[in-house]
Amino acid sequence: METDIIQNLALGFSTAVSPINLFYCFIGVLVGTLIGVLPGIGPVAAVAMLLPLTFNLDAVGAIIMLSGIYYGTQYGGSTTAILVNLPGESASVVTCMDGYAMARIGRAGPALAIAAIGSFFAGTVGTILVALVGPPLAEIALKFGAPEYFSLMVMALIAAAVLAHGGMLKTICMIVLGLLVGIVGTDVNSGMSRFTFGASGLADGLSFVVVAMGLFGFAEILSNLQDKADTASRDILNQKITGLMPTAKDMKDSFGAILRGTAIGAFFGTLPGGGPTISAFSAYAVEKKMAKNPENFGKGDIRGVAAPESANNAAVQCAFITTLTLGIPHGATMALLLGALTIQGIAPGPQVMTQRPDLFWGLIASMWIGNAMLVILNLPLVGLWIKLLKVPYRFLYPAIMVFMAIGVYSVNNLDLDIYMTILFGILGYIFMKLKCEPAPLILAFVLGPLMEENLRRALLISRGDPTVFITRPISAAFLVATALLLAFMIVPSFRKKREEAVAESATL
Amino acid sequence: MKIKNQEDFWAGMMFAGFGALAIWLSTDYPMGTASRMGPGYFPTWLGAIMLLLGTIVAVMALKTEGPKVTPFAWKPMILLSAGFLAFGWGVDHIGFIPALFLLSVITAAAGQTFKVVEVLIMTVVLIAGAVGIFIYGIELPFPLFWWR
Amino acid sequence: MSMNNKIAGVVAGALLVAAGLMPASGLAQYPTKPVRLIVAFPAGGSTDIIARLVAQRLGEKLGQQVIVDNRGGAGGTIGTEIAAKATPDGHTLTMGTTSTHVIAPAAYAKVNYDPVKDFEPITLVASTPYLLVLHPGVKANNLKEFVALAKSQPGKLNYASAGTGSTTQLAMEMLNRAAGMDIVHIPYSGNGPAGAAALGGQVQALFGSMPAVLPHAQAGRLRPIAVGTSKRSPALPNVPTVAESGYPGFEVSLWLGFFAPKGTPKAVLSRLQKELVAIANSPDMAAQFEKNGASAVTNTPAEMTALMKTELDKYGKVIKAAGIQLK
Repeated sequence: METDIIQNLALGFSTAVSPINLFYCFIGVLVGTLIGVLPGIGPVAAVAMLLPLTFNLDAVGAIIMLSGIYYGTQYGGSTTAILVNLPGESASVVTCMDGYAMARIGRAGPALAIAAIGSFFAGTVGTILVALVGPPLAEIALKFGAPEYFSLMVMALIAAAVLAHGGMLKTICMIVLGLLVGIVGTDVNSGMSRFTFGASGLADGLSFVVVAMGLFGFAEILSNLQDKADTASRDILNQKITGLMPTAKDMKDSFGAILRGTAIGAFFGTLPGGGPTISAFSAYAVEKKMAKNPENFGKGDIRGVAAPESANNAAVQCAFITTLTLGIPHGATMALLLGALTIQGIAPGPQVMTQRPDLFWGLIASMWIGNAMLVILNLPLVGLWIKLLKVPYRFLYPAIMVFMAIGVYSVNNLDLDIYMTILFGILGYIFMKLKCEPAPLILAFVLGPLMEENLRRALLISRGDPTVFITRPISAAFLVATALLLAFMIVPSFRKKREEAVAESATL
Repeated sequence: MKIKNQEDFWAGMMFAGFGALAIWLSTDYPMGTASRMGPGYFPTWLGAIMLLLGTIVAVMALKTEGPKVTPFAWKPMILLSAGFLAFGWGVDHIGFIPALFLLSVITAAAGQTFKVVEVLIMTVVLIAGAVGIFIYGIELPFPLFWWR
Repeated sequence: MSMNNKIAGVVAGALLVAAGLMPASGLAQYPTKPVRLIVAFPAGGSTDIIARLVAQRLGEKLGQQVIVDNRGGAGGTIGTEIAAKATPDGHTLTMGTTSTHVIAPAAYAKVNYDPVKDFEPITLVASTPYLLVLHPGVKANNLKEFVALAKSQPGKLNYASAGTGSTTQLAMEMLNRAAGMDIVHIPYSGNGPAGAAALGGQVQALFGSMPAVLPHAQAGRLRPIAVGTSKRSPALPNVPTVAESGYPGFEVSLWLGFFAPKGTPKAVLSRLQKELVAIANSPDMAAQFEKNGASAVTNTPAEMTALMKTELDKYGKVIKAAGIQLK
């Protein structure tokens, strides 16, 4: 078994490591990073736009370049999340919370660096995992039917309540609101449009870019303009930039977070649907729960960047497993990569491994090379990105607005998306005023449609019998875990209340 | 009546309002039954939960002390929205470049200092950059001006 | 001169200049500027990939770039509506499919275009077959056995589809009706998830689009029992058609073709027809289509209109009978 793996990886590396393939990989990562930092243009758009470039390459070269673009855009998205609070995709919403906070206290450098390092480590582990247990793991994913997905989503949403900086009730309200926002659009089961107010532009639901750009980007600029009313020329930083690279203490702090994030990402990544997002949120929640000083989270704790970034990347890596071995795409980007494979005349599916071992293992090797390239490319770039923050804010914010507007518009070429971004921007500003954390809303927004869809599908298949959720073992396990999570959350808050009451009566 | 915790009170009211809105909008969609849910089932229940929780948050805010809501920044809010509106309308009607011009100038006016020359230079640089990156770089299919 | 008149004068002047700069539309120099190809689906889908393949080649032949403009949403109706209302000068084209030009107009309560009256059909370029597959655990080796199995336990079996109102649902509903079966529809959001549900045995059957299910059929993970086209597929020569399995006349496939807005000059249309037919029939393009599970098909505008009318009637009946109503 082990010799097999070594032989296979050797075959893979011999395919992938040719000067020309390394060059394709480099170009892919570079172009991907540059496009990824443009707000609103995420991995899907970048891969779609650059797909034609690869038509004339050979299969291995094309896939290596495309995965390079994919990694690049992902990391580019994290870069804007950290620097200017613009999440490129749902998973980097979590990175925004502590990453942007770090940038504001002059620690954008370490945040960017730890994101790259964590991603690289998670990518390496993910690659090894794919090589070792990819195919059997993919089989487990097939066991997931509608009831299992529903229970998993419930667990993920309850876990998100841990993210709250404020009260738990308000957080739950934000989650429910996110679920409602996710409902906008055509109902998969009945084909009926809901909450669209007759606008055909909303028939496919609100795009993530619209909600995230509004709640995070637009609202943040509004709040900055208010705060800086008196000192017009001040920049985004509250303090001086201190060091580009993580300190020894940062590395020590992040080590555990990266390990745990990787493990969480690898677990959720194999499940189709929402894997990277759930992983990033869960990893953050776990770090916050385990920390001795959870009050630091949200104020620029490096673990709050390291954990979700590692989890996200590990999940993405494992998402490749199901995409390749089952031919089932995880999300839009994976569907695109599948499309690219078919253009190259390769039908993804169980037979890829046996029919084209050079390609399968070459891809796995190139995944790792892509990750390595990303670190090599981006650590020197950190210095350049930091320079961006020194641009006076009165120039920076109109530029962000311009890039945001173009990014939002480019998703569907629809002016309605721009108007909806304004709406969510103002809503996000109100949330800030009322101290409501928007991140759980985003998670619920992403998972909500999947959750309802699977709830109704489960009941449709069971012909209306609700016991499916507890008679199917995997589903039952998730529900038990959810109950435990709830107990963990409620018990300490009760204890705190009682202590407060005791303290109050003592002072009276 | 004195609202002790303004932040939570208004947050609660907002949630309750959204909950009520969701319930009201969902009356257009068939409810179905718990075992065979219609498109109205899920949003109605979500709305009900939010109406309830929002009300609890608001009521609790009447009793416990908490922070006041800081005033809104109306001028930036209106100008940033206007900039986006101008771009959304403009890109389809007067072309990418004029739309960007409006967006950049209007949003720049949301700040404290507005020096015409400075803003114009910045706008030209932004437009040049955006056209270079998006039109020539990644070939987005936007018309540059109203005639194409 | 009052202020208002001055403004009006300036505007009029500007308009004149703009009009002068605007190239005169006409065949003599068609195309005079890049051609916009509206694709009513998001970038990266199968329709988009085929559109991009053809667009690149068409651009070379026309000597002007053909820019793919993705206007996805609402089952393809948003982009198609934009195309219907575009200036009919040959500089805006759209890639129409069975979804945009047959199913959506028949299934949606309201669609703001008429697939026949608002467009000039140019030619088909490709079509994708559908394949009926079963989870290997289902005790039926061919369509006859499957029908018998379904009839012995009405309302017990499930089939997956890529969504309510998708071709994958309509194909199965047509079979349901033709064979008198009652197999329950479980909608999924897209071909990928529907395929996964069939692979995992969450549902028993799937009338899936060929590119999505063929690899699994070849690997033995799904059992192919019939193809929906009138002829057997070269990729699976041993699998009979639905028609030859006892339901003559049964045919379901997804076609993709080029359309221009109504009123586009005839000369432009015939030029495009000639170029597109040549492109679709070129061996390397046909090979590219094949890789995407599609095959090259071309025809004439008159044949396209006839095809749309037949299909509007055929699918219209199924949609009504199955009670599908999209709003």
